[in-house]
Amino acid sequence: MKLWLNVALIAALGLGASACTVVTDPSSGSSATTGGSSGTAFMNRQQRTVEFASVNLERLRNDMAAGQGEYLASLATLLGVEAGRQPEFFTFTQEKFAVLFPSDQTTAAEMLAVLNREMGADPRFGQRLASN
Amino acid sequence: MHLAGILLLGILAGMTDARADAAYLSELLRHADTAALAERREWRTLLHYRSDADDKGAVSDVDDPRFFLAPNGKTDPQAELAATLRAFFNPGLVGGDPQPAQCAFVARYRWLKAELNFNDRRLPPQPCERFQQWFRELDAEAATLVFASAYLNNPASLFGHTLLRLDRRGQTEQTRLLAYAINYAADDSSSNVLMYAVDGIAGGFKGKFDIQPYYQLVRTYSDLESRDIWEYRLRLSEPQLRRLLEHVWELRGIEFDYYFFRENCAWQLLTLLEVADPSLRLSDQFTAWTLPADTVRLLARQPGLIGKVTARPARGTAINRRYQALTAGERRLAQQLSDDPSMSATAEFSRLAPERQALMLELALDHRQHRRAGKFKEGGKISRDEVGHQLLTARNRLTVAAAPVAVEPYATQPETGHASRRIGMNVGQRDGSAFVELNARASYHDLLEPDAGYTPDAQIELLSLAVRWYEDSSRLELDRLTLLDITSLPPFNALTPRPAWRIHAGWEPYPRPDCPTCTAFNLGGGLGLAAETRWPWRTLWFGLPGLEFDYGGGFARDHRAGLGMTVGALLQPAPGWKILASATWLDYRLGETGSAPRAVLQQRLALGQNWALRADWRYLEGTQEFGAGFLVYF
Repeated sequence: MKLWLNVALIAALGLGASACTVVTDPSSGSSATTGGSSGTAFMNRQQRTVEFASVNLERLRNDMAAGQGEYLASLATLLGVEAGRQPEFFTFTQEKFAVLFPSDQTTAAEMLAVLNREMGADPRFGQRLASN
Repeated sequence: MHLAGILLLGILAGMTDARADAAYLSELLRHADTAALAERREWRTLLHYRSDADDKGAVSDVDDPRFFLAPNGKTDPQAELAATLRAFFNPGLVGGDPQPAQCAFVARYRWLKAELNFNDRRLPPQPCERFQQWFRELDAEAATLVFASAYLNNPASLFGHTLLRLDRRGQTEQTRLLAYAINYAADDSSSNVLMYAVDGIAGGFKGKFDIQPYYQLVRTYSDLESRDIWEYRLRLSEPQLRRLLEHVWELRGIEFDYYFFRENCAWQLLTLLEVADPSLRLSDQFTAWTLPADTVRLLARQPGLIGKVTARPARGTAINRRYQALTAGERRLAQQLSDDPSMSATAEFSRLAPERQALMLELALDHRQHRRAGKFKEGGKISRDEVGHQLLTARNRLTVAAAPVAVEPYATQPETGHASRRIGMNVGQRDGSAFVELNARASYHDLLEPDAGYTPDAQIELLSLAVRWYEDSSRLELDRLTLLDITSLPPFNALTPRPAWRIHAGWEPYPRPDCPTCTAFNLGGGLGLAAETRWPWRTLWFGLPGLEFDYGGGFARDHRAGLGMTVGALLQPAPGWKILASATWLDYRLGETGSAPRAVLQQRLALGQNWALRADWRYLEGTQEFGAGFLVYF
């Protein structure tokens, strides 16, 4: 009995008083580290854009459908769209939504390829990512 | 002949270089000694030294031998400084991420260079390209302390979490996600469930600083765990921020023994801030344990340190707030929409203003995605969601912005709340026998305390002790020793239903006619529901059926176990005034069988941020008691 009480005590103290371990999301889909303690270099702008779009695809879809939002603004910044042009960029993605996300299975890479192509065809923006 | 001459010259030059190095090193060591640089706060903070047990020497918190250049560097600041200066002359690779010493320990180098006025001809500086590139890539202009509020469903997150975000030049509120963030965390993947608590307490885990994009952390805390986040901009000067970053570079790959209680994420961030501004005295304020919310309270008290404070409500919070802002009819529609996009084609929906339609579609989408959180990508493939896609298409057809709704986080800023430790005194009577009670609680927050600064409708009590002196007894009696009590009573919400629950472990009073001050060990838990009403004032109603187990010599067969049912209400008639009324029916089936009713009526009146009055009445299986007193938080 005493043993169980001791176990309960330790467990209670350990569980109850523990603070702030991080739960890293195993399903984030992120493959590369970003120059953390082990890596040396951060990813280049292209890689960061792809990584950002991949991890945040669901939120980006919502923002592009609505033509506004924090994730869309961040993507615009990663793509190098000037601050003054960003409102036009938001409207642009909203108008092109059906082409950018033709189905619920569209991947980040597919969306970015189409976005890059569409931006390239628009004199306001021009191509932003290197085509693979 | 010529070759021999060149070789000889080469050797002589090498020897001369070595002698010149040695001469300059001696000079620097003498100079450092005279200036007592090893005693300076800047050196102490850079090496994470603190006074040892008998206050005579110093011990560094860093446990990784790669952090030290002297064999006894962990305990000898003087030797470490001398070894560091020596290493600057040596291009050999050192440190957690092997590089020449000037680069591996760039913060030490910069500080010593400034203090000792290094002559670049006599001690040539290394280019340190990797550090320069890393520094440029971070492009940091300011640091922001980020506090993620408590998450009651994960024991390791009960007290919240803190990390440091590095805000980039030109960053706006809309692009915070792109910043990098410094996080100190334990690698607990190698531990199994049984050893988790022991490892965490005894330093069995290894902790490291890591840098991640902020959006990764937001995704974990805000989206997946639904934790409200508070962001505190820190007012650090450019040199201070620079030194902080140089030191983070020094800590790459360096391992610490991770201790849940004290040397955890919150505490380590304080040590980083002390490097940035050595005049700050932060980490020394915490001796036995460090709670993230307590560190935020401490930082808020440092004059001029904290600037703008911004809230980042969790996704779940945003969903609930928007839902509450809808009319009853709209709420019904929103719920139906999230599974049936064709509702957006109905006349009822079309009658709404486009901004309301947009709001409801966005809400339906968020709600749907939140429910399916974690399932977005399964095995690397995006899961099918045709319904979601139709909702997106419907939203896309509306070109207006959604009707704006103010989204306040549920968890309020931690520095607005009472301190987490508490002591108090009560006087009262139990069945006619008067008593004086002294009580103390290690942490954290109970249901009767004002919610400001804490997750509302939740209670976490750790190590709460009450001792009494009764008038007709000559000794001090233990009345209560709660090891752990966690109660979560989230008001029921049709959109995101969550159960109410409770767990309790500790010694409780079990008065009997033959032993009025008896206690026994209780282990109990319950799972039920809570609901909220707003008129005439906010009331939280709850019902918690559950299991109870009591162990103690006073029971027949030393124990009893059975079912319990608690119903109650938590009222808030005025700010700072809370009343808790509850009744419990217990039906013991094993051990000492029988039924036992209990009831409590507790009142609390907060008179200031850190003190309150209390008045309690309890009915414990045939015994009545009441008492009143005060509580002080510190």
